[in-house]
Amino acid sequence: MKKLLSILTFAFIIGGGALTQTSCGTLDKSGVYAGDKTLYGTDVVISSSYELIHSFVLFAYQNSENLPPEVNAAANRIRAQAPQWFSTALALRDAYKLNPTSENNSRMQQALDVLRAAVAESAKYLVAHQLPTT
Amino acid sequence: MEAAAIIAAIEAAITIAEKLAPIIQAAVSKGEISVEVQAALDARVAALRPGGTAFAGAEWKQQPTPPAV
Repeated sequence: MKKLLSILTFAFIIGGGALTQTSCGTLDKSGVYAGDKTLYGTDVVISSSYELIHSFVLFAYQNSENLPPEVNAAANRIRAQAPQWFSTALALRDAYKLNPTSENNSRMQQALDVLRAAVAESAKYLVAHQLPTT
Repeated sequence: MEAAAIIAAIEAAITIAEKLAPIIQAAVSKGEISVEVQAALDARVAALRPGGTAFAGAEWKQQPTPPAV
């Protein structure tokens, strides 16, 4: 059970990461991304990371009395830091948009790695505590 | 591994995927990603910016840690 969701989750994460480099599909150039697939893929990673992290924070909020202290502590740490993580990722994303150099891309990827780490931690707790035990 | 547990795991993954289905589906497709899908993603990301609504919910407030269960 845990392995299954872990696999699904990591496929989700890796898929999100791959989207920043993807060659799948094309963007309608009249859209807000103006054909820039790197920016589009970056925003997919940022948005999907938020969804999973939010799922964990919401789960912890709704079930705090039944969760081990370390899970509640992790949720509180994520609550405290997540806005800054996303703010940083978006700032570096905007910097890359203005000046798409390899250095700016590298900084942006580092910020996305921070989000991916938070996603992995959130998924770990969701897998361990959200699903029924056997 | 019990069948119920497998189903629960799949349902959890589907719940997450459903939230992003149009965006992810478009992103991994070989077709053209429409103006509408791009705008939807842009709006989602805008909510994550400082002053946005993404972190406004009660679930984002620091919570007291209950005693160990």
